[in-house]
Amino acid sequence: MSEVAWTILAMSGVTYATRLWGLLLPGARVRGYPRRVLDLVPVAVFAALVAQGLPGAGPVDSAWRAVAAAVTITLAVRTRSLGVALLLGLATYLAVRAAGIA
Amino acid sequence: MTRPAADAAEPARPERARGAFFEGFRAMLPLWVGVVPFGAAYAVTARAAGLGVLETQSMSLLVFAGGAQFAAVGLWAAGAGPATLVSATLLVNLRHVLYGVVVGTTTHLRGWRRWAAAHLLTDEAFGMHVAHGRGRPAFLFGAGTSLYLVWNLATLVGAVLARTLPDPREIGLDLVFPLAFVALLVPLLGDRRRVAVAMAAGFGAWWLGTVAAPGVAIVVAAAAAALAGAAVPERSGPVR
Repeated sequence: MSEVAWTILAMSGVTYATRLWGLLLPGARVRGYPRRVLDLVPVAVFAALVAQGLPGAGPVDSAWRAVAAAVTITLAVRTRSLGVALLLGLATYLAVRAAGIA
Repeated sequence: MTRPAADAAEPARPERARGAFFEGFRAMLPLWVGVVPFGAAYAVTARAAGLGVLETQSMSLLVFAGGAQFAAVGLWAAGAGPATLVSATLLVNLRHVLYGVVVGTTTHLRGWRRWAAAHLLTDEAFGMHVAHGRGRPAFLFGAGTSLYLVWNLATLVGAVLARTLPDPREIGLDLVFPLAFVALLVPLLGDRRRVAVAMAAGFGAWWLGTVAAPGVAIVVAAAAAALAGAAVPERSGPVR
């Protein structure tokens, strides 16, 4: 096998290991402080992913991306539909770009 | 031989499991808008870095981690060696450990399901599962399969049509993923503690991202915010 193939297999192995590791931990009886930490992990990870992905190329672009996020938040609260909130938030940003504002 | 209760219960309700699978599969459809151009863009980048169609596709089939795949082909193009590529992959994907812990404690996965779920546990599948499918393994499999299918089809299209496709960042479609996580985050902000944790993790990840690798910044900021948030005494009702 080539070096490229071995590298892809190794990448696959470490990715799989990170995902499996947590699943194999015996966590069914977790209570108290560890339980509260785990309950907060999704909130913390999603916020961290948003913070890394939301800023755009420059302040004007970032501001319009923030506006699109605000539209998404508003629609997520009002409609409780991820699809509607996501697509209309994205449409707002794409419309601004198409108009040459962002 | 006596089978464990969960294993025995699930096949007894195949229609319910099938319904949850397709519910998870459908829940991911809005994200396809962003996954298709990104899968194709990854393939275009990989081909430009010198990988063949088979190698490009193999990475999507076997690694199945968009951020890590992008980082790897970028490093590949820059002449990095295998050890660097594998290390970068590990760093970018460290947050998946947290996903596994959360899924493992909220969803009853046993036997082969646990091993299969590990391959499908991406950011998006985890997010959708936490928001809409907690406790339902079939939902997680549906969401993960949906993403796996579209990511690999998009990779194939991108690998074959490498020279004719635009970069999704140039046309603004990279915003799909942060917006998806915004929409998934909102329903989880049920009390002041969660809002504070979200703000701390967000600011922490943004700041750390200026001095450390993005994968490390996400893990450190999220873990620190969750650990600190759980230590604060409750004031606004029980935490779910």
